[in-house]
Amino acid sequence: MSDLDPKQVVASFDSASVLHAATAAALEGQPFRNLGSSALAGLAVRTAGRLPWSVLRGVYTRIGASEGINPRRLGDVDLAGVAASFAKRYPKRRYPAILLGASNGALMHLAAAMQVPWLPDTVLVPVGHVGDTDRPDEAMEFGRSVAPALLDRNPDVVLHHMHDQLQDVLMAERMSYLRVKWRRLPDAYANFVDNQLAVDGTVVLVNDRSSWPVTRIGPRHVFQAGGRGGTPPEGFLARPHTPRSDDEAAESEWGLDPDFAEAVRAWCGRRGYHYAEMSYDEPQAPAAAVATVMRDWYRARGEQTSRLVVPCFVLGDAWQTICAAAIPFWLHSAVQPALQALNAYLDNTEPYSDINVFLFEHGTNSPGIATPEEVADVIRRHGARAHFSGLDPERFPHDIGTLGRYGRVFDQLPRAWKPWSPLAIEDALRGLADAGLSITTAS
Amino acid sequence: MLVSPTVDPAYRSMIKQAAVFFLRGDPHDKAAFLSQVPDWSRAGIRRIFRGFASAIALPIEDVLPGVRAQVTIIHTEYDLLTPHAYAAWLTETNDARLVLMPRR
Repeated sequence: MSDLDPKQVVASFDSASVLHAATAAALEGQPFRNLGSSALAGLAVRTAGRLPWSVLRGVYTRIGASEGINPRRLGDVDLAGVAASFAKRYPKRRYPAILLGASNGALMHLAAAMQVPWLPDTVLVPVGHVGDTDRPDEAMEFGRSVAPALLDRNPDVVLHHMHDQLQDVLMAERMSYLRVKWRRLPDAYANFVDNQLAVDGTVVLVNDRSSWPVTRIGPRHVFQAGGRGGTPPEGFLARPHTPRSDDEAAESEWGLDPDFAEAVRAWCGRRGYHYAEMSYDEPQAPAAAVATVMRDWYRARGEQTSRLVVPCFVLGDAWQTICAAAIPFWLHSAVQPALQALNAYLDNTEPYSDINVFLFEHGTNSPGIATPEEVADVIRRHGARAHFSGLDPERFPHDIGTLGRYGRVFDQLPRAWKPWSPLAIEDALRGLADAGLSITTAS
Repeated sequence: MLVSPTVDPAYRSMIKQAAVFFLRGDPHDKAAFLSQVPDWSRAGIRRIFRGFASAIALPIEDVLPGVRAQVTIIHTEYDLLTPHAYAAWLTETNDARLVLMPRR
């Protein structure tokens, strides 16, 4: 049987693949509506979003589950092909920098401002599996039974099987999240850097050091109960039927595989590339630094810098944000820890007059969720007007139609006034360092 | 100073240019697109197609390497016939500076 097409392998709702697609759109100067899906898909989502939640829940779950690949075909998953599809997606030109590594919505906005690509270290392979979401132990055993074919076929990856019955309950009912991370630079990425990094360009490693307690299944296979959001690891581990953790590993969605980091460092050294590394301890960490850099960049060319945009998870549009000279403060999820980070940022920056919020909704009222009312309270306390256009707060967290509406809101943001050139890499790295992010460089 | 029209090689035919220009329109701003209709009427179809022909006749990627001065490419944030990626590629291949004009 032939290999599965890369598009069949990767979940369309995966943070890495959507953020990658959004970055590619920004490098093409294109808005990113409907999470990169067609206008027809956007219309379908808006229309379906009007259904009562009692009906929509089943539709949402089954459509999401339809992306799950047959576990018997995991041996036909060629992740080298997926890496090639990611590299191929970017416009063919030479770039002053190329970002490699962890997913991060804030840094993707910065990549868009610099007009440089980012290639992810991770991707989500959704596998069809119907099970009791409150039995992580059974989910783990399912993963143990099907993973060998995937791992044998792809010797360069590690598998982080994640089971989050709180935030991803709708999807977990009918699929398993097999998240893979490359342990070394895929050939397609190496070729991309060799062919499309400008002379004297810089390879930038995005190193999210997030970790999570895991149960080790094998040398290249771990099981992660829960995921980063509104509940800490111990909250998941204390739940019934949850396997005991016996190791710590990179967090499945956001954390960078340490072997990948080391491989990239060594490879850049051998190739003689300029190398820089952005390091931080959790995905929310770069948001404030990125917002500071972007605000300074706009201000330097004389833009008003009074509008903050709050993208969330994959819901955002980096190109349109820049075209509006709006400052992005990315939330990794609509959860309390992320809201606290927004609050802390607003405490320490010049006031904004208007803040547009684009909360991503997982479709479930999970513990630690941050509601639109709570976000609005934080914004108002800081003297700004809160805008939730495109989102119906009454339907939160079930307003799935917002996935098809947010693009129009970005279209309608007031546009920038001043001509602009892409943000210089050196300025961005210096600005991030000045704002407190760990930046190391090597020539 | 070189002034457009410049067109992405992918659109360098009369039919493609006309199709993109008249049929696709500006998806960001339908109203602004329609507001151009009076201008097209005044220009007349012959002038419009002469503009297309001149764009086809000038492969600017062949011209720029011969320019000895520092090159600045000024481009709008949204252009139907000359996509951003083409302007960015021209910038990179000619060691130029890219300046993007806000769409207002």
